[in-house]
Amino acid sequence: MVSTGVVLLYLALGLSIYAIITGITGIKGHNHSLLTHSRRATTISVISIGGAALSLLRAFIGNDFRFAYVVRNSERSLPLVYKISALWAGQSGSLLLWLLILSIMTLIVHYHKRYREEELDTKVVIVINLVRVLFLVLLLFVTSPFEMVEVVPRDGNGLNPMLQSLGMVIHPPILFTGFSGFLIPFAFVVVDLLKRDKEAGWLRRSRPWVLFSWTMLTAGIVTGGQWAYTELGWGGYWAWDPVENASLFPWLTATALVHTLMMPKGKRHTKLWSVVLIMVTFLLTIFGTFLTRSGVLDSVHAFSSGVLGQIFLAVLGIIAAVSLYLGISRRGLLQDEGESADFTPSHWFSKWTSIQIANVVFLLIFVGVFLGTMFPLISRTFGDREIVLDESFYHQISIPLFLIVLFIMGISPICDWDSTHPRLLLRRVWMPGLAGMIIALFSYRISDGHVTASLSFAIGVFGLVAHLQEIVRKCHKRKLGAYLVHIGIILMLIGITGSSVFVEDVFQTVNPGDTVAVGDYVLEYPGLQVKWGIYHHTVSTTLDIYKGDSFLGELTSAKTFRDSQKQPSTDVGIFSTFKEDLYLNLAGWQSQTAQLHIQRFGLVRWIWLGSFVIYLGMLVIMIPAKKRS
Amino acid sequence: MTLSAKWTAKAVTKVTKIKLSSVFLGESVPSRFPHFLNTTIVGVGSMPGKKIKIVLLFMIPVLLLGYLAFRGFENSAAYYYTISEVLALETNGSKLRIKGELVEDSVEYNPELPLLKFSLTDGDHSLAVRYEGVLPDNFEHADEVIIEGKFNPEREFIVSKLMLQCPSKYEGEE
Repeated sequence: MVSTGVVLLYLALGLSIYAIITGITGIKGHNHSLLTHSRRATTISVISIGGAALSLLRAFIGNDFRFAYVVRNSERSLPLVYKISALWAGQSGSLLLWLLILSIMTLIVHYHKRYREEELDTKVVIVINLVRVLFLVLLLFVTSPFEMVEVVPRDGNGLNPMLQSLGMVIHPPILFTGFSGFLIPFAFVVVDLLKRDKEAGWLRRSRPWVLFSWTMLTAGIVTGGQWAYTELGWGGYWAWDPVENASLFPWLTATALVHTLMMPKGKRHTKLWSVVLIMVTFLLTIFGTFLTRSGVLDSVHAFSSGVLGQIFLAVLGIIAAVSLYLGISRRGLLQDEGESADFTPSHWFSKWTSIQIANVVFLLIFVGVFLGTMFPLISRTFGDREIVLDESFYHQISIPLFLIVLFIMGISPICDWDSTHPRLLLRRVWMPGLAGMIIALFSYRISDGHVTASLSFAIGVFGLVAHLQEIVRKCHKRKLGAYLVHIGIILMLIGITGSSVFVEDVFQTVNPGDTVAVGDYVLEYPGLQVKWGIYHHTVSTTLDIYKGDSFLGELTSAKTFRDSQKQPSTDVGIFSTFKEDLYLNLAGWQSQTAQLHIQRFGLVRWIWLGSFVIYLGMLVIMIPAKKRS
Repeated sequence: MTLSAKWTAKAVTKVTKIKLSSVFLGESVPSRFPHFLNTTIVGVGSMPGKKIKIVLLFMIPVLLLGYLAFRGFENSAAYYYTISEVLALETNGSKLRIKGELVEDSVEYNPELPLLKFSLTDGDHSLAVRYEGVLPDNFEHADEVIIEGKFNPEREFIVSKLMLQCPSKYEGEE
């Protein structure tokens, strides 16, 4: 029997191909009825993809274990919210989700008034449809979520307990939205380059898409980190794992891209920078998918399916070749007539110079992290032994470079666009500079002489004061938004530094009534509790937290044993303040004697706080300004 | 005519001089700037001054990254060895990365320290290792275990990092 989902996907595939053909012939022959056909075909294909997703969703909610994908990722007793998120718990479902998001964006391009001139929408959608066809082919012939099982089981295998968390409900859709969004600017560029358009309208049109996608990508990375922190139980949020790095690659190039697109018009090399960054960023979103699905690198996260990886690699090669060809054959279009980049002293301190230097540093971080991630592959190919680099390599590369880029970010608001008069510079720099120096001395004391951390805090506070000072001095909407994003980044820097430096790790075996001292806190262990449910039982402990004599709160960690699974899953307890987090992991027990693993991380909350300030700033930038009459 | 002679001849025909200072400061250098900026770089062949400028500007970031990568490499590189290779290896201090399957019934766990002892096998040989850390939740059902660590002077393999390949029951994370 063929399921509804498969029929709908076939329909979508046929219609997408039809839309591409009618689109091309319609544009060539200026045939309006064909263009209307194309538009309608795309619309219906999007609707049928939506229908396919809904039918899979119905299968999950209705416990339809005829589908292998549902069997693998769900069970009857799973809470409803996780039955929904189980849709993207596996490989084929996450591809379907990605395709769905991409399809919704396609409709926005089609029906937004802004893109209606000269059939631009149809041209752009042709490029997007080519990618959608690829996804549909993958979903139909390589990794189908609608594959049937021969014998229908009574219940499913259940969802990996680690994926049963709010983080994994929101993280994949957000990340895929970020990934998908970078296809649209790429399509704009391809269309304009193909028709040799001199006006470079793509520069203007790309901006909102890049800003939006950058925000989603950032949110995707942060929610991923948050999930790792609250769910994986080792106390970190970033492990420089290949899969994590794969989402960082496009983020780094996209960050450079956002800044390039913010440059005022008529600067030299703006177009070239933007085109290269748009193309590279899009390629990296595809590359990330290849990396996570090919199994070429060892990763705790990786899906392993060889065929899919090879297909992605082939597609990557084709897109890269097309981009390279377009870029080189149309290089004349990418020349800017504007001022040339001259690093004379009067231009040293300017927003323009700082953006250019920052872009170079972003690319350096990208190249460094990229080479590090690929090093197992590189050493396997060119050397006689595979060599894997661990976190310390990435720290060595990224910490100095990030500090440079954040220092430049701190200087940028006190500079004017083209050049800054030395007297103005002095007038604006003394306050942030002084604040930075005081913080440097202060944090040098409290971190027991940790130079990098002191430098990092100093640079953060320097930038923070510089941005606040300029917001107070003179501000308009877009500038305020950009500065808020910068401030968010600084808060994250402070959090990341604090959580790496102010760390305490305690492992202790305790009996009921015992206390554990961590930092200024005293934790009291009352014993273990066991709770029996219908499908599982849970062993947990709840510690009371005291500071001096005052009771602050509770910290609960539990191990859950589900009947459907042989292995327990651990829930960590987190007690969070702006100063520090206490992180409890119930490691083991014998009757009422328990082993507790308690960690203390400084300033973690500032990371999550910073991310919200970033979203707020982006919102301020993206809300259209009221037109003055 | 040898190649070097050709090069010399070419160099003589066209020599471009460029002051290092002009790369950063434009043509005129005030005297208060450091002396090394007055170094003159001699370009040979048809390379014009502007190109040298660009090349020099490119070299700074490349050198910076090269330096950072080189320093980072020293302590972080872990060399992939199969278990059979490891057993034949002379004890040395370098970090090794080993992949293998868990030997059944080899797992010993002392929760109070915590200390985890287990053996990995590649089918032919097996290697016993020590890990001073908490037993991971799905340890005994992992398909494949990846470890990183070093031999200590007593030739015990001390695991510093323990990674589990997801059990096949779930498709994987993320």
